[in-house]
Amino acid sequence: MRLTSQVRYAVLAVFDMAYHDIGTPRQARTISSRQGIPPRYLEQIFQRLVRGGILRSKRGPGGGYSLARPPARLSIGDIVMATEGSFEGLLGGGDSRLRRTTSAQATSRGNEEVWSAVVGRVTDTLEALTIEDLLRVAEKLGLEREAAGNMYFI
Amino acid sequence: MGQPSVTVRIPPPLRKYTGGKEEVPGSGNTVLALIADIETRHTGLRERLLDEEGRLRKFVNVFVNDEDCRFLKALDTELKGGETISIVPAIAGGCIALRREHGGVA
Repeated sequence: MRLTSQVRYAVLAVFDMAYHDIGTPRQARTISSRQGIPPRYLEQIFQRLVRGGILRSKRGPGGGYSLARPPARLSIGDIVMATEGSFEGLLGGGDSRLRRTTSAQATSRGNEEVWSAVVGRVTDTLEALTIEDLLRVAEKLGLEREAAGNMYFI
Repeated sequence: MGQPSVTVRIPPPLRKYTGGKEEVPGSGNTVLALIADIETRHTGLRERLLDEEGRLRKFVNVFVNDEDCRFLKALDTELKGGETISIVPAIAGGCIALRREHGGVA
């Protein structure tokens, strides 16, 4: 299993949005610099997240991005689906070596069933883990938070 | 009799007002009344949520269960009791790359 950088960046961006300051105009660019995500790439990811129902966007002056659901209702699985479209690529569907093995040796429907149990378990785990859970982890770790009026831009 | 009781989920940046609690109880007929109620026990929260004119700050979203109250009746959204209210930050900016290249501040 390999999580793409797109999924990683999408999860970190959504987490960042929910973790840092509230009520002051925070810039999307701040997330870009803090998380080390190239701005153009972040924009693309945000657009996918909007299409996937994870974020809402408002255009024009005073516009921006917000979570479409509370953090407790946003799972990492939702973010994978919004950015990748499916779990296939993460779980071997795109692995040609695995495909060859599967088609040559089997015949073996058993293998597919066993593998689908793995896919099912990983999918369940990603769907059960929410942004709220990540906020708890960050709190517990004492991750420093951007303070009100202390925004930085590069 | 009493006002409808709800559960309010507090985002990490505002937990300093709730003694670190993720969740606090509150009551009120509307979102606005609820904010006034929690302010009585957690002084300072109201100012972080509402601007000088008493409107919901631009980069604050309040969800009633899973719905953003801006898509309902905003602060006048009625509460029946039993709902989970979540306070969630939002961010400014769109076309990040473009603005950055032009050196502008959104």
